[in-house]
Amino acid sequence: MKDATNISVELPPTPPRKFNCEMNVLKNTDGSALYSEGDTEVMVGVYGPADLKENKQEVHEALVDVDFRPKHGSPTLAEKYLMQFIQGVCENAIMLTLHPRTVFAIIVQIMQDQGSLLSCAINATCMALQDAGIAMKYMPVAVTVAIKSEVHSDIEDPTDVIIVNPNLKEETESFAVLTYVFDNVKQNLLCTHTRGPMLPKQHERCLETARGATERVLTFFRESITQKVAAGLEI
Amino acid sequence: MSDLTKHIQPVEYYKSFLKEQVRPDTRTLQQIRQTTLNVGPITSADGSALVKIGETMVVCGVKAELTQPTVEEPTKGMIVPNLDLPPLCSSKYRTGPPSEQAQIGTQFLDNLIKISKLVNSEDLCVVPDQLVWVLYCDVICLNNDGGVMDAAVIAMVAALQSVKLPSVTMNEETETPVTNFDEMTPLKINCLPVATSFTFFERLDNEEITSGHMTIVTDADDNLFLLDRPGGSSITDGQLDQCLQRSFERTKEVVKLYNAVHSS
Amino acid sequence: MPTDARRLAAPDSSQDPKLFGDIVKPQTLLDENEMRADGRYMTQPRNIFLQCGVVSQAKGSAYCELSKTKVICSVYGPKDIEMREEFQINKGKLKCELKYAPFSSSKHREHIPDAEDVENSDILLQAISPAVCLQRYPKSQIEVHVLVLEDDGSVMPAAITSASLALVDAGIEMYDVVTASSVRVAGQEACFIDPISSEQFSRASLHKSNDINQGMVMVALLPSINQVSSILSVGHLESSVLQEAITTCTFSAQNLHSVVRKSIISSFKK
Repeated sequence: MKDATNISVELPPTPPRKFNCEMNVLKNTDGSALYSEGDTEVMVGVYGPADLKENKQEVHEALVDVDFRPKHGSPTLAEKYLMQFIQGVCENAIMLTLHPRTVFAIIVQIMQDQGSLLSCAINATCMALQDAGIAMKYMPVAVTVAIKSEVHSDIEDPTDVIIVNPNLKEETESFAVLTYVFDNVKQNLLCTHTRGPMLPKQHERCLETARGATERVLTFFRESITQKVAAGLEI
Repeated sequence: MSDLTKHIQPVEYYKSFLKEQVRPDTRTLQQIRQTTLNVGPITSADGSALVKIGETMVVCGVKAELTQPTVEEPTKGMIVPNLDLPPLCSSKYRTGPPSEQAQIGTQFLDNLIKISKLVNSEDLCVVPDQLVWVLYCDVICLNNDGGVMDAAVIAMVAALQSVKLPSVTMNEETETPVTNFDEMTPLKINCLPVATSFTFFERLDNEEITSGHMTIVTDADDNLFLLDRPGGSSITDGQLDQCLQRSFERTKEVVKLYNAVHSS
Repeated sequence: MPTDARRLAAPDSSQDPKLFGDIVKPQTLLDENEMRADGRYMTQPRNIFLQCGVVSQAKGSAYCELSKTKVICSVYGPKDIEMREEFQINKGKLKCELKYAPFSSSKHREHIPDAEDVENSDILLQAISPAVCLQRYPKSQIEVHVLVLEDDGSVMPAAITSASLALVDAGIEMYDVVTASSVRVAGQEACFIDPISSEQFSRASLHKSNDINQGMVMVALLPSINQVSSILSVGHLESSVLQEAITTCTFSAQNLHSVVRKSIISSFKK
């Protein structure tokens, strides 16, 4: 890193990745969602609160069991590593003490990975949990940002550019990719996953940018749920 | 506080200590257990290190072997880390395939190697398209008393730092490698990352006492490599800053340890 | 080739660089000064280091070092039996597992236990189970886990001695500790006590000598009651030579008793 103090320029996502969410797509699950951010698409099915073998039951709360499945084949270590983030978010967002001795089984299937996979998977899971009508303490919102240095001319130092919800190409061009999950109530940090060498200052900028980007996702969440409820009323 | 309370009401027991800003083992909240590093205990490995953080004990051995490179990357050697949490180190683990925790730990070490560019994989190339080094970094936990990943990172970095590779040439006629053990070159390490783990406690009247942990990997040049917090209760930016600061302090201490052991 | 989804992808095969180096191996077990490769006499065992209580999480544990050979062992239990078919109403079940660390030998070892690991675990079980009062632990199991950190010969004696020490450290009721020792037989009058890995019996070392008596013998002993719990003999040995080797082993194992006793006493003083 040449110079730490240069100015970060935030570009509006060019063009902003389109969000799309279809809920209740799988008939046999208690809740499901087909969620996409740009070309990244994830399908989630939720079963729960469901019965559990006696020796696995927790006396005072429910268990969360997340299965994170790649496009084909069985999960590798990389998927298992990301799985712990989805599981961690769900364990804290769901009011587990309401359903002791049960399990919430969540199956997250990657349909297509074109960048920002983890945030897309977490948002998809939250929508599926909403669809299943499971009581949650708050709504988690996940945002991925990438940071890359851009050289404009030979004279100037390279400047850092922060990209919100990067695609796969932008992710590989960046030196760091960061995923943040916030709660919608206090906008506090719930979960982070970062990759890449960066300076604490750059991290701080990314966190701010990500927090600013949550509003757009939350608005989309609200719209989708409103649409779903309205559609239900018409029938 | 009696020993009985510890077993009957573990949550209450811990809370009564936290109220006074200390921990049951007399440490303050920000205090890290005594760390010792011993390089080269295993002579059958090409590089090895034993790390103790308090009672937690982790050993890492690096075996260097020769193999063919992949078709996609003909000039790159390979580093294959593996974390083993055997049933020997704690009653939590069973004999058989690696537990989920071990798998996540292995992936963490792999992420760390790739993100921090710990070793230039081109340095491990002997003859492009024909022969490269593969470094098997096997980290085994011998005693799991918490903070295994912190110890594993120190052990792996220190073990790689002590690796010396013999010079290898290709015999043109027979197309077999020839190793010369008189010419040993130490492996070049690009940075000295250190992991620091934090656990958060919820101050609410929740049955669950811990609510999520966080691991930060940094080096002495103020680089932040990894900041992973897989869920948990929400934390404020102030808390995050505090943790970052503490991990930079910790990194400086451990880097001193790396250098002291390496130069001796 | 099936890949292991629970570990990172590794190359299909790789070679030990020592295979391509020109390292001269000694042709004989003794040099002209009657000394072995590591500077010992034929009947001289290596110095042994034993320590109890190295693994704080375990009920009992022990560490054993014979020069370069390093073995760590921990004991868990008595605890519930997980598998219903192993349940016994009148006595406990002893479970032994011996594993080599991937970096313990000259060649990188696979993570999945091979036939040798299974056999070694069995030998360990046979050697230590006569010493444990299993009838005192009905309906429960005791687990013994041994990890070989470095292998420079005589791993089994080190594993057996440290396992029995760990059982003592765990407070398991026993008739006696178990000490073990091994010898390499290379001819009628040649018993090499406590062999290092280059001295161990293998097919490659056969043709160097004209004597047909070639092999390894290991004896596990309960020293205070002077009873043998296990004998292992590999190779071709005439019965008189075998008897001689067993006597040598027994004597050597008996000598270990005082070291074991000392380390138990010092662990109680702490």
